[in-house]
Amino acid sequence: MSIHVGKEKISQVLDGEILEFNPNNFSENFSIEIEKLTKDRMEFVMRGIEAPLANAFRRILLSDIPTIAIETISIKNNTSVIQDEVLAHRLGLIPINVDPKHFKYRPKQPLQKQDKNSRQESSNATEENTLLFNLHIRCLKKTDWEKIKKSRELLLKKQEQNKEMNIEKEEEEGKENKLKIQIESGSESEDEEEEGEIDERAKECVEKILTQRAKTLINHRVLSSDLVWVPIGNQQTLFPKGIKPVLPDILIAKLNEGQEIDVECEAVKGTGREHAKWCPVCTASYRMLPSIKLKKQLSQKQSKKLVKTCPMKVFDIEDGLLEIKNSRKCTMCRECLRGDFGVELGLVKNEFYFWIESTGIIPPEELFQQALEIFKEKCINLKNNLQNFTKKKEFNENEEEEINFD
Amino acid sequence: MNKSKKLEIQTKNGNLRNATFTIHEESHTLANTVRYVLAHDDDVNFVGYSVPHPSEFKVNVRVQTQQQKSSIERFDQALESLCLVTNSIQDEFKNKLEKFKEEKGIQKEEVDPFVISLKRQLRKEYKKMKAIID
Repeated sequence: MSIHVGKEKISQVLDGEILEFNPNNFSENFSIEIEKLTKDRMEFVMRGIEAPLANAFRRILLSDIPTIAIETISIKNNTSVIQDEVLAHRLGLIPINVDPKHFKYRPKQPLQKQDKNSRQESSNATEENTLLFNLHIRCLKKTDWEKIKKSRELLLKKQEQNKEMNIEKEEEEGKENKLKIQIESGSESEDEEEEGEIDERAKECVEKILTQRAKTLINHRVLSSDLVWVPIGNQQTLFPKGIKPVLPDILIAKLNEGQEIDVECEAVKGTGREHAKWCPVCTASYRMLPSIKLKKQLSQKQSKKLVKTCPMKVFDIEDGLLEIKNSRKCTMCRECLRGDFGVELGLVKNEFYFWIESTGIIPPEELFQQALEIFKEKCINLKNNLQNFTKKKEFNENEEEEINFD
Repeated sequence: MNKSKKLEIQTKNGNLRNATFTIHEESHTLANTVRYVLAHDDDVNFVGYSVPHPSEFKVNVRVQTQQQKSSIERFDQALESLCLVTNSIQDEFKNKLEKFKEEKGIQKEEVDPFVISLKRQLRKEYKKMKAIID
């Protein structure tokens, strides 16, 4: 190993162990072992690859893979305590469960001055590059809500009875109904939840947890499940199952009685390089695997002491001999270097333990494959540019002098 | 955008042995990897890269080669080997992923017809790009 971890510093010891890089032999020395693969997280080991390549993949995972997130919102009404810009920021950070392959990037448009009454309409917004979401929530008291419910029922009955009313009167009632329907649509789910409770013990727990506010109010918490997708153009056929945020219970805002949020959101494709909301991973990281060597023969007493000092239980005594049982678990705490045990600690230069945690939009194994593809595209793109250059032969004059190593 | 100016090459008196490549819209991701490949190249005397300013999205890569070798050709070769290496990584990852899924008994995903047609398009484009390289 050529990376040596000492008590107080890490040094790179170039003792003739410079690892060669040969693209033709690469696949012979290269191997991947997948350790863990779940819906959201993948852990695997890459051997035979060096830091520049591994770091390139990690950087691409963080910044160059596109996703879709809310970019602009039109606020029709916001009487909540959350300021407009804070609400916009929070909405942008919600991960939306849609494959960005189906969409194109929206070309950027310079900000224009808008009239008082008109909404800023972006002319570049088409069905191919934008997703529309609607969020309309109003918080009411439960008693008021019940009154509204009853009056709505009465109105419906009246409408059935009086079908031969004037057109104007019908329109008025229609408007009132629309308001009430909108208010109702957001809170129906809560009513259903209250009705479907099973255990008595669960009932007690729930009642304890619910604050007084929650007992008397409806819609006092605005969750990500309240974002409603509005399909435009042919999006309904492309996504028959609908588009929702990845998780339904992300808290966006809290409302008190009479407060309302009415917002129309546009979601757009982008990359993590521009804003972290477009990053497809919670984190993608790697660490180098440790290499532990025992340089001295230790007595029985010292061996037992060494086994005790390691907090991760890397060492073990089997058949009276000191063995390195779990080198992978070593966290580089350097406790074993403190005593005089003759332990040599280092990092293996070409073994990387990678882990990728996805936000849920794209599964982690697909993310890594996309990262590899994007890396290849970059190389090919640059190659094409080089070839164009050799054809045109447009070189700039360079004032720098040659650096000599003789 | 500066798409027309992806790459600028600075040489002295048209001597192709020593050149500074200024690559726009790139960062450490590609530059460090290319530098690493060129550092293991026997025909290259000197290679280094820098990011002139973190607010500007470009890198400078300096390549100096042995006599009668073109630095542009070495740079081109380095990119070619990177593509080969990425290919082998892709293949290895695919194989190991399938093996792992078989062992764990994870069922194959449901196939979406839209995704299949997209994959076909992507394969065609990849073949075109491969034809350009070869």
